[in-house]
Amino acid sequence: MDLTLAPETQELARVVREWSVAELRPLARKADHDHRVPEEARAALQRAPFTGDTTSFRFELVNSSGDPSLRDRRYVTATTVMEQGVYGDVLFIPAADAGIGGKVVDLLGTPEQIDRWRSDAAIKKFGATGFGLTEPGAGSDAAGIRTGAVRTGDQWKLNGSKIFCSNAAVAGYVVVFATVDPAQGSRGIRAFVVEKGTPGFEIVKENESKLGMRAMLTTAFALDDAVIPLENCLGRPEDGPATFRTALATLNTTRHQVASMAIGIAQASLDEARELLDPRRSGFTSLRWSKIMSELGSFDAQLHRARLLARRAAWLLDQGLPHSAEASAAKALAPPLAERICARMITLLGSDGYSDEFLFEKRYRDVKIMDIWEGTGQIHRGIIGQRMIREAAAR
Amino acid sequence: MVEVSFSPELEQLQGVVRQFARERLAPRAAAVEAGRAVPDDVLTSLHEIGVVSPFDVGPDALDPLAMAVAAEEIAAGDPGVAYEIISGAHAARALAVLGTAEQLASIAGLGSSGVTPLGSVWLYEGFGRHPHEYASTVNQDADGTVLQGRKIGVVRPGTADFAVVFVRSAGQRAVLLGPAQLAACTIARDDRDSGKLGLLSAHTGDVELHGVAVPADSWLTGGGLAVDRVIAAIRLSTAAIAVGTGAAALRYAARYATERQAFGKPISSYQGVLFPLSEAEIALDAARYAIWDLASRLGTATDPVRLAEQTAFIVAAANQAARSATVAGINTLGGHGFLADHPVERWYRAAGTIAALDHDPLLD
Repeated sequence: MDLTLAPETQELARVVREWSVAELRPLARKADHDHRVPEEARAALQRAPFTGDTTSFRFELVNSSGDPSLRDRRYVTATTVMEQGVYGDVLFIPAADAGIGGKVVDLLGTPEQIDRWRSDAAIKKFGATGFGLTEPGAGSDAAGIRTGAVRTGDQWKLNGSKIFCSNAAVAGYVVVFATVDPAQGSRGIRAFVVEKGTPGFEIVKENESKLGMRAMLTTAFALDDAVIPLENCLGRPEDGPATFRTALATLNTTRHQVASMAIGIAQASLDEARELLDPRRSGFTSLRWSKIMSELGSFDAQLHRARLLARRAAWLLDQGLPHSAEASAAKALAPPLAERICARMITLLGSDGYSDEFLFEKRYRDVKIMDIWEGTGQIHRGIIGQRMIREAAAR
Repeated sequence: MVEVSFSPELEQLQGVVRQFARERLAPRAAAVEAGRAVPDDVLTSLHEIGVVSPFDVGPDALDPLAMAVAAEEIAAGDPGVAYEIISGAHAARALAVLGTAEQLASIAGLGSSGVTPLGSVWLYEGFGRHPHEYASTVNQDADGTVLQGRKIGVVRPGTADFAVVFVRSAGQRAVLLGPAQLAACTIARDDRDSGKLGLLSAHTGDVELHGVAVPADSWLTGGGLAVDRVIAAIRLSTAAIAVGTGAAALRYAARYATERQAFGKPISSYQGVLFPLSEAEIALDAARYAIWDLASRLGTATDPVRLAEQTAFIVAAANQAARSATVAGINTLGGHGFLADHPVERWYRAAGTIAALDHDPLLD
């Protein structure tokens, strides 16, 4: 048992944090205000001292020199990088994110489809990809999606509405989940590649107006008799029922990462509050100061406990072991904790806490989505509870 | 004798303010927030109801309980409007309760609003300070008394017709600032320019009192305990705004939960969804009654330190409950709660802002 990161991962984490604070944090307010990723952020990523993106989960230091056999593996490294990247600002997420639509093609596509949409040339051609699952009437209950796909001859005709689709307004293609038979529930759901410019694919709102994470493009779009070729249905027809499970499995590899995002936001808030409070010590009574210091210390410890749960889930994933309940545990624990910390830092700092002159108010807004996306807290508590019940029944 | 009901007058006031807030304020709250100001017609309507400037209708017209009730109801329509209006009204009330007839008369003719002189209370300082620990003080210099200190969350910075400032000087004292003194104060931060998290329809800011000279006749004659009671009334009203904000979030979320279907049922049928709402409802209700209890017996408080502590506990409970309520509000709506299409994100921002005004790290 060793929950410590390998020295090289620690070095990577340090480098990413330093880079993110220096390069992304100064852009945070602008990104939030403009509701888009500033070009400077993409440029900063290009010259970063590490490589990788949040879609591939493969992050490495430029000029990596350690012994590869002693390195932490892909998901442990990625979740560590995610926390440190977000520590500078949540801008890291959209800036380093090429979308997860491509990942569904990887998981579900036939060799021909993978070649068409995921070859190096295709990645270059299509750029960002979208993941269209959530609908106005179907979020947690993703099997309740109403977007329909009807086969007519050698074509599919798609109709429906999607929301919260990251990157859809700029994506080269969006992987759209639609049902071929609503009566079949989740078994009737298939994934379709809808390329940019497809007639009937209409952007309703390029970037939704959000409480936080405003630079992240989440698009509402409609499919109005959108016609696509037969071969744009991912996988073989006989694989059908596996499609929906695959969609959820796609999210399953990222849930623990959301915990790391929340931890990164809260840790940044905590550390910056500490820096700001320190010179103001004389403004507080000694009793209050000692309570505040003890509370900040407790928050550090709580964040570290949450960090260990995210790391455990990532390690299980690296080992190819079941990790669903463990990912849920990290995801259920970290975001509400991070919310409490971000709220608390605002109250401790008074008007500096709520003023746009500092980033505390922004973190309070940004962090709120972490308890919602990729499965709400209720859903994850449900998953953990169900596992407990299953295990109790089996004993 | 226990009597858990309002007087007919207060019940009527609550009804009128509630109707105005829910029917005329709430539907346009997003637009009002975008405008970063309390619209003139809202000011006029609330003035007609009698909550903008209570001394217009006599010092007893709005007691601390009535102010808290009005604050909660307006907040359910727009917490920012509630903060600016009620904070301003408390300046007038402080003047009516603590000042002389001459002092009242000195501001009667002021006012660019065309409605009534618009005041501002300068109370909060941050740092978790209780009123008896405020760092704003009075110093003597060759020209008389000068004020020192910094106040946060003051409404109408640079535009108020008058302000009532609370400072410490061998106990609590309150001082009236007219246009000449206000002009000598520094606006350290105008939140309308720099931006803030929530309560955006309230014009607020931080002000500095560095060396502002105060004429002898500016001191409000009521001092000591009377000032402590006025301060407690103001703090309870701010707590009531938190409660009103949380209650609005819960009402909205509860309605949504009955309409939204997931896994074949309304989400309100899931205890995982319903219990956070009911927990927050219970906490809000407890905070609300604590506010009403203390507000209704402020006149009998005799120990200033005890009063400040009791108030602080209630403020902490109200803010905690408002936070739980607004978080549960967003969580109930899920991703929709994160969108500005629904008001819960606005209430979440408001609750976070209110909590930073009056906060004691020792208490929650």
